Amino acid sequence: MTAARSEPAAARWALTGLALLTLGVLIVLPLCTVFAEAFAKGWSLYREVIEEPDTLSAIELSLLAVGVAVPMNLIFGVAAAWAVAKFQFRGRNILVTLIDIPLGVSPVVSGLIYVLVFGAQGWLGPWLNRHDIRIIFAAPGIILATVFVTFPFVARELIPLMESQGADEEEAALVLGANGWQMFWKVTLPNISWGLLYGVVLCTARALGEFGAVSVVSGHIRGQTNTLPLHVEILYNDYNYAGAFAVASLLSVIAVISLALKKLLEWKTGQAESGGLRRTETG
Amino acid sequence: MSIEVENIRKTYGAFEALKGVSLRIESGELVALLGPSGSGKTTLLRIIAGLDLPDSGTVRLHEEDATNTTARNRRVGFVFQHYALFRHLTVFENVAFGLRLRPRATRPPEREIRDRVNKLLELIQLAWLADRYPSQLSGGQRQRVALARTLAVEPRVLLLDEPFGALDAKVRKELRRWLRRLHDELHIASVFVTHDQEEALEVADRVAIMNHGMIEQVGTPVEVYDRPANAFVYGFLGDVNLFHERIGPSAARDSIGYVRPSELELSRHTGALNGAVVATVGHIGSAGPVVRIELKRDDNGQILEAELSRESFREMGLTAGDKVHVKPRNLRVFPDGSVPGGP
Amino acid sequence: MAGTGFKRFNVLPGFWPAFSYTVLYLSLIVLIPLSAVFLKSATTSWDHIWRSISSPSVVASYRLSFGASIIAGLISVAAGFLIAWVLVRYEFPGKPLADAVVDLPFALPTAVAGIALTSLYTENGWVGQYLAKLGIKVAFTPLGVVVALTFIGLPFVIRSVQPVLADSDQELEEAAASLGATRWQVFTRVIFPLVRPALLTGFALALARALGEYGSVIFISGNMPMKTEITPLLIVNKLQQYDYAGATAIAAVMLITSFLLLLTINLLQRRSRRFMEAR
Repeated sequence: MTAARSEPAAARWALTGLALLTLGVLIVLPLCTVFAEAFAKGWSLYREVIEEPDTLSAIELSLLAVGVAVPMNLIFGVAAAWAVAKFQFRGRNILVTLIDIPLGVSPVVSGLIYVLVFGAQGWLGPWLNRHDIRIIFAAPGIILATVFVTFPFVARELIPLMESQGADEEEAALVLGANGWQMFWKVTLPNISWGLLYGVVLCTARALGEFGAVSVVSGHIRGQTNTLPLHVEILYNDYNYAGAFAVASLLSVIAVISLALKKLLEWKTGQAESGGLRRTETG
Repeated sequence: MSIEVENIRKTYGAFEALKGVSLRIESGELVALLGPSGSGKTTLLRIIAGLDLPDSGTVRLHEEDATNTTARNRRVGFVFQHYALFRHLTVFENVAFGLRLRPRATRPPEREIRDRVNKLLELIQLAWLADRYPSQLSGGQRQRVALARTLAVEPRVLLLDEPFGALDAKVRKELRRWLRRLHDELHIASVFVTHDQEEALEVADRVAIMNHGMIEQVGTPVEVYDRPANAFVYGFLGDVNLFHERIGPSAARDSIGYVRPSELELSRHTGALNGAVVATVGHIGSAGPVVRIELKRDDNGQILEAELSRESFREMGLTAGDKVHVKPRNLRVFPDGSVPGGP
Repeated sequence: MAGTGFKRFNVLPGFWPAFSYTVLYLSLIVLIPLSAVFLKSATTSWDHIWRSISSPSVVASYRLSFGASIIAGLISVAAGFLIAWVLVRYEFPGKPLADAVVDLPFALPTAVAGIALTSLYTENGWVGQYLAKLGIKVAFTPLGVVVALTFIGLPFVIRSVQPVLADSDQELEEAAASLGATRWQVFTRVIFPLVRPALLTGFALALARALGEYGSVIFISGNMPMKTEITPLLIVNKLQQYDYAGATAIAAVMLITSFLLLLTINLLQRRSRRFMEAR
């Protein structure tokens, strides 16, 4: 760094200190609070809360939602990226914009739209009622809301990655005699594997943590339609703070792990020559 | 195994990439598609490979209509401009790729695959790099691996898109001689695309010069260089001086004459050169095997460039500011009024 | 044979299956359910819609949501620029960790952030107790909403500004310095104009996210009618009263607002890209 583009050392240290203080108070402190509150009443109470049947069933439902939403959006992401990144067609830019829509919709509205379609007063409500199918206030609704809020994550990672890689390697595979599947499995997929994993990490983190959308469609039936974040809310509103923070600490650990994985993947793909991954928000 | 394209047309939106191109390449022949960028040469190559579809026209491989055959069934070898090596596979696996794809029935046994790949790696002199990944190779090495990968599937024709475009000058020269020798050994029909006239003239059996989606001329390097069909070809194959002159005894109209810098005769005396023009010597570039002299015509101020061998330059003892008499030794006039191409 | 004019010919297989699946899935999961908001609004009487979106408590919530989002966005811009600057320009121990921490609000579930911020800023919380001595109440006041939305918005600004600062041409600043500019002049006349589009984009992204934010706000806001109710909460309230039409009307207002914001962001990004390329 040359003198021309640097401040005096004292100013540098003052600015760095101020920046780190801001970061610490605004972002790090809340995370520390979670763990401090979770263990405020001791380890045994912590275990008790985690092993409660309601907590376990919330974990189960959360995992179910992730287990369905992530693979669905993974397949969609690959298909969308294949069509958008490797082909030129009319309306391509519109399609890319439409894929991003869920990012701009309030979580509450994301839940509401499914209530309007599947709820008792919704489009399909009477029909579903006659056939005794429950979607809203049941697991399918929670899964749908989760799919919606994590919808673009994989596609958004893959589209720029695949665009930057071009079609040369796929064309080379075809000229060498590969059929479509061979080309996809042996050339395309290995080339996007890190980006794919990155998208899956983002998708999983958001799916586990989604609150607003799931809250609207769940009906808050304890032990039945509670995901982990909803369970946090219920415990908190019951003034069971230690319990709420214990469950919150579980989610925080997952968030920290996902952050670490994200950094690792960014570093990994930074090493490889593939075009840099874009950062997308989770949470 | 021959290649024949007939009346190929291709448009991208409003842009006409190819305007009815026909060309035949015999088995064992090495043909260069030479032209400036945007002349349609790469598009033509991709259409031969089946990587692109023509709007109309026919592609025949081995006298059979292959226009509607898919790329994977054409059995052509295609070497991409940027090599398109599989970045997640080693050099060995890149070369083995095409063989491993084959259905069980026609796939050679593993031992034979290994033998064949090893033989190819020896052919390209890169056996010692078998376990490296493409990102660890130099440009010239990648190019050779790309060739070996293509040859592994025993293609019926070999197509190369700007094979030396991304390499530095020294590696280019080495590789193009190597390509020529390789081609002579394989003896299949090969086509390569280039925008470098020196490369095309040195390596190819025949050169097809393209411009604006059409083939301007096809012929052996000697034919196209000595008897260019029009001003574009003339200009694209070497440096050009323009003579705006009434030429010849019967010239009633103004026409433009073309002459190469090496075909300008210079003299200090009028007597030796009949009908010469007088010019002033400007900048002299005397490094290298030929001496380049910038001349300014005294009558109309036009700038000419002449090339002299070092000996004749020394004999004449020219310095900047000298007056010389200049006469074209070999002035060409093209009736069609086309403009000379620049490389 | 060479395509129908809709799609340019390409030798790669699988366009139609991939494209059809994309459009089908997009329609089923996103477009059709989303259109329900507008169709539902279309079948509701205009009078009912108007009453739903203009009742005093709803208007109060607009004021809070917009006001707090804008203030939080401005704080994010100031703090985010400082943090991005330090992360890009200076070396200090623990820098990679500090950089990783920036993404925490993206990764932390909003409900977790909500209860953590609440406990931090109540009158006996780690931060709240000191603020209380100064007479500042944060939790259960509009100020709490601002704190939560700043937490959510800050990373958007940092991540928008960071790449621009990192890419900014060293020669540009050196050229300015060599022409006799002081460090402060270099900053205000060279660096800041360069970063301004990114700051604006970061602000718009933070604003868009803040307007719809739910989980991290509802705990710290206290949800007092007319005082600390945000607009998304009113949708939930109306749903709990089975006033679907009312909830949908407010949702339509929010959707239109956020689409307009996204459109602005798109234009901003296109402009800043052109700006960057023109250099």
